Amino acid sequence: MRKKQVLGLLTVLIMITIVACASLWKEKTTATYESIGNVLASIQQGAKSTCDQGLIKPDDCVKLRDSYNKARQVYIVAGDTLIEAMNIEELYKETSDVIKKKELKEKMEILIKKYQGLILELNNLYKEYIDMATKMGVR
Amino acid sequence: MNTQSIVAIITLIETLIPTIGAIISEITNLVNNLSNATPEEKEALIARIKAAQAKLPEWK
Repeated sequence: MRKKQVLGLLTVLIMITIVACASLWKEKTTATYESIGNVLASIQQGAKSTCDQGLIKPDDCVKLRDSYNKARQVYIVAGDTLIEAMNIEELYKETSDVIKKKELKEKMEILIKKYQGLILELNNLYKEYIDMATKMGVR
Repeated sequence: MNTQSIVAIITLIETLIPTIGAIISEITNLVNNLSNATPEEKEALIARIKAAQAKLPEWK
């Protein structure tokens, strides 16, 4: 079980490295997004399994669960934002009207900033999870 | 799954945190670096994002 999960996470790390060499931003961002999801899924699987075995206090399990669900929610909103940005980019490429193009570019910039903010929030949630696990005496 | 497994996972997550910072700087260049992906390619990517979202179960 442990070996499987560690291997899974190593795969994610390798994927991120490969993704860094890709050329298209959408391909790159999508692959990164998938990698982040894989890490979240591993966290959920590991933490839930630990809780199901009674290795962590029920109250702590509730905290872990809430932390994961919060991260999951942020992840889903980030994905929706990314999809919207992709759709706007396509409209931008199709439009020849200068004013419309400017509007679409501004909208895209807002969406990208929102996406960045959500990824940062996700990053903070990872840290929160690590702090929580440390306080629980995991290490 | 024991506490050692959790420690291994957490260590790897800590490794990933700086990577997320790098990802953000990559995305910063996005607006000025519009790609040539076709609508079909875009749809395929959107399908992948939706699949990734669906893969994360709610922990009840």
